[in-house]
Amino acid sequence: MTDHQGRRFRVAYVLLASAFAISGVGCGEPRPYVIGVALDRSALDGVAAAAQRINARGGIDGHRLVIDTASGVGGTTARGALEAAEKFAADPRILAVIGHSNSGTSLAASQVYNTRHVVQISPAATSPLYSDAGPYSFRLVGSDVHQAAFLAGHIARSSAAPRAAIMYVNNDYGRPLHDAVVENLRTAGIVPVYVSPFAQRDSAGDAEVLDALTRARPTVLMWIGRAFDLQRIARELRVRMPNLLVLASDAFPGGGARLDSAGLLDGVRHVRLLDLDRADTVLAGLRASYRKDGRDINDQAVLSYDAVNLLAEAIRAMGPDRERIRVWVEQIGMARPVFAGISGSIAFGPQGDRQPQYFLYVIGKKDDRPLPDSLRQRPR
Amino acid sequence: MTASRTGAASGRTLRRMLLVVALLTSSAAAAAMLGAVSLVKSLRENVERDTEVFMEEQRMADRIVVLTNEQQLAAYRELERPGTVNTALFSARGDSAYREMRRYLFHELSLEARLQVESIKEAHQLFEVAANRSFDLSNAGRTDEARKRLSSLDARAEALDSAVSKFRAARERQRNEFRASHAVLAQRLDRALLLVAGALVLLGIVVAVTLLRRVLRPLDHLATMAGRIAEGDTLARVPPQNYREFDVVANGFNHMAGRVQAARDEVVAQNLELHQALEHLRATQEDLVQHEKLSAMGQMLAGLAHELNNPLAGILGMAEVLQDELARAPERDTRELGTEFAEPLVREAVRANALVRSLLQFARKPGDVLESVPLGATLSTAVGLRAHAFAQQGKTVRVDIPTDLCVIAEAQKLQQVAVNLINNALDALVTGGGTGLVISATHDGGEFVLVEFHDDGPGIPDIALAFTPFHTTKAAGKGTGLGLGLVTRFVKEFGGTVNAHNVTPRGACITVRLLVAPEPPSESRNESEEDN
Repeated sequence: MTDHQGRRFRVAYVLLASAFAISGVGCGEPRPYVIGVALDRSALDGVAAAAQRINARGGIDGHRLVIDTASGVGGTTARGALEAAEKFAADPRILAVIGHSNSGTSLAASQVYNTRHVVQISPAATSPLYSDAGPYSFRLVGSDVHQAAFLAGHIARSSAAPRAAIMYVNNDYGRPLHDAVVENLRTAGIVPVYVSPFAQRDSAGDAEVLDALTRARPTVLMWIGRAFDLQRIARELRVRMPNLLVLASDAFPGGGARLDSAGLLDGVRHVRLLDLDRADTVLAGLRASYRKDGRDINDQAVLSYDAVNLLAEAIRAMGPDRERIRVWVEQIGMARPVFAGISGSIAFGPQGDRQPQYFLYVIGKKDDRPLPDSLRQRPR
Repeated sequence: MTASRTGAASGRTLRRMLLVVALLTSSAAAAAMLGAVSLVKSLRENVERDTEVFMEEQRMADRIVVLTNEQQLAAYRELERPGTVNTALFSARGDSAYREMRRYLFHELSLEARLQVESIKEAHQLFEVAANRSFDLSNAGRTDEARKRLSSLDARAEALDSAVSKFRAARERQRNEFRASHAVLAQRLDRALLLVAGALVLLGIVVAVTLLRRVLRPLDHLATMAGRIAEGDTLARVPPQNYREFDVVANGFNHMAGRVQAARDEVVAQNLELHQALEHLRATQEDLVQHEKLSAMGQMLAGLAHELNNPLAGILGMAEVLQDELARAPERDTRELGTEFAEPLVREAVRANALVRSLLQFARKPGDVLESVPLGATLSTAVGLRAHAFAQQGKTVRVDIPTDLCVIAEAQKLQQVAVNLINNALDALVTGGGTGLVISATHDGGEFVLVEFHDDGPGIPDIALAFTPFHTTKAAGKGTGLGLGLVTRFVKEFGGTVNAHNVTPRGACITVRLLVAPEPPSESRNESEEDN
């Protein structure tokens, strides 16, 4: 993140927090209900849109819904997530938390929430570890156990004898997903020709990685990580292996794919957890508002939108009580009907996991679009 | 009274009090013990659990360090002898180390410790990435560059060691804080236990004092009263008690003591009555013996009087003849002999004759028929019997009764009435002083004649008991206490009444109220005169 981006990020936080705070404070109004949010900036618009829509309809039984972003504390590091979680848990006004922005941060923060009995709904934590985070941790995405199978299956179908290389970000997200993919590939009879971890935003070994990949001569590269890390080696990779199929995990689009003005990532297939093109008027409206600002909507924005509505419904049903909210959320899809969100039907399993769904998208010259059926069985 | 006492104590029963005290004591003790045991157990478990967790975390940290060192060793060996064995070993140890790090996720750590875990993970991630880059160089045959890259691996390993050390320090601090908080808690628990123990001791003292005051003392008191009853103090009683049980016992005891006292009084009274009856029996027996003696003497006296009557009549006749003869004698000396000897002889013979007639008349068996009796003559006869006794004692007796006054009576019984009353008066005059007795009678103008026996003696000491049978003021053996009773019985048979009262300044007056009667027929009067 550049300094310029950082300033914009902080300004956006301050403005958003101020707007939420001002909108939530009114003379003589009932005490507002507050939800903590610790997500990427790209997802906050989805949160804001949901809160705005709820408040425009009279709030939650007359109480305005206020979003507390913990003054931007959190971010993408586990340290930030822990600090934000401590802050949220210590604030009695916070009824529940939506966050955090990835598996590592969500996992780190989950222990605070489970210790302090605060409901956490993560729109991004796909790590298998999150299933064991505790009874207060829920997620609107499936476990990577299922994504690994999905990805391995796609690799297996990519060619008659695929030579798979796997690059994974060496953290709580990438490592378990890598393990699961390798396991699935081995089950399918495929032994990866090259496997290597990388550190996020660490360019020190890029040359060595390129050399190693070149030597390994893979037909498909499984990229488990953000787009910006691939972007660094993408140009050289195109030169050295023009026919290399790059298959990325769900973390990929959240990593600034739209910043690829040079088209280095064109043709990269990646996993989305949602069908962002599904016919839904609210989703269409949200998508349009993103595009109006020159941005592509992402999974987290949509899932966060659903998370706000789901928590609002829980508060409406059970009142401003953390424990009762947890019980209500836990019963979705079991003791009570599924929740209809713009991301689809939401139901939680026994460990707070949502039934997974995966969609393969391909990055094109101008947009990110679903992978055509014609490309699903064979590499282009 | 018993009911009210029981009612007053009905609200408080000893059983209930003891039950409540026992329940309170046992509940307090049980609660205190349970609480203390629970707290101690909980504290111990917490400390043990925390110690176990801490030790496990230390072992985990040790394993992470060891595994990382093994990874580092494998990385160096890979450079020395490139091959898959060492990289596989490196990956395997890395996976193991990562699994250890993941376990921290589910431990209760302080924010500081958790941040250090994240630092460990980050350091390990970078360590592994650096090693893999080194492997890449080594695999490409660029061994020197690979070795150079390994130097950064050392730095990463040191960073990891440092993070582990910091984690341990943070965890140690967390544990120390935990122990300190538990020490404070244990101290509070000790104080609480001391307080509870003190409260229990206090409660025990209160219970003991209560039992002493409410149970033992009443029991002692009850035992003391029972002892007094056993020693004969039937007036010993137990006061009302505070508790219904004791109150019931006290009431029962008091009731029993009351009955014992009543029975004892009854026995005493019966004994007294028996004693008195025995004394009366003895006196009566003696009186009867005396009476029999007197009766025999009376019969003898009557026979003697009858026998004396004829010689006395002869003596009197001869004396009168002698007196007449001497009176008619010419000689003065002879006439003086008549005056000096014959006249007193006649006079004394007349008096002896009158006394004998009175005796005969008194000794005559009384009849059953009431009749008109000349009051004056009858009473004179009685007085005549005792006149000599009065004279001997220097006392006077005077009859002041109209000669024509007759009453309904039986003559012999009326004489006995008079003799009794005259005797009583003489005794009183002799023992208490006084000059004499006056017997007078007046017609009340109606049906009755009031006969008064009025003396100037000391009066009757206990006048209310005067007519009670066996009551006597005379010395032992002097009277039977039956005289006035006999008087009353005879007067009642005559249809009259007897009253007694003392006279001021001294003396007593017995008033006999008798029905007035017409003058008796001349036959009876002649008979009476003939008897005389």
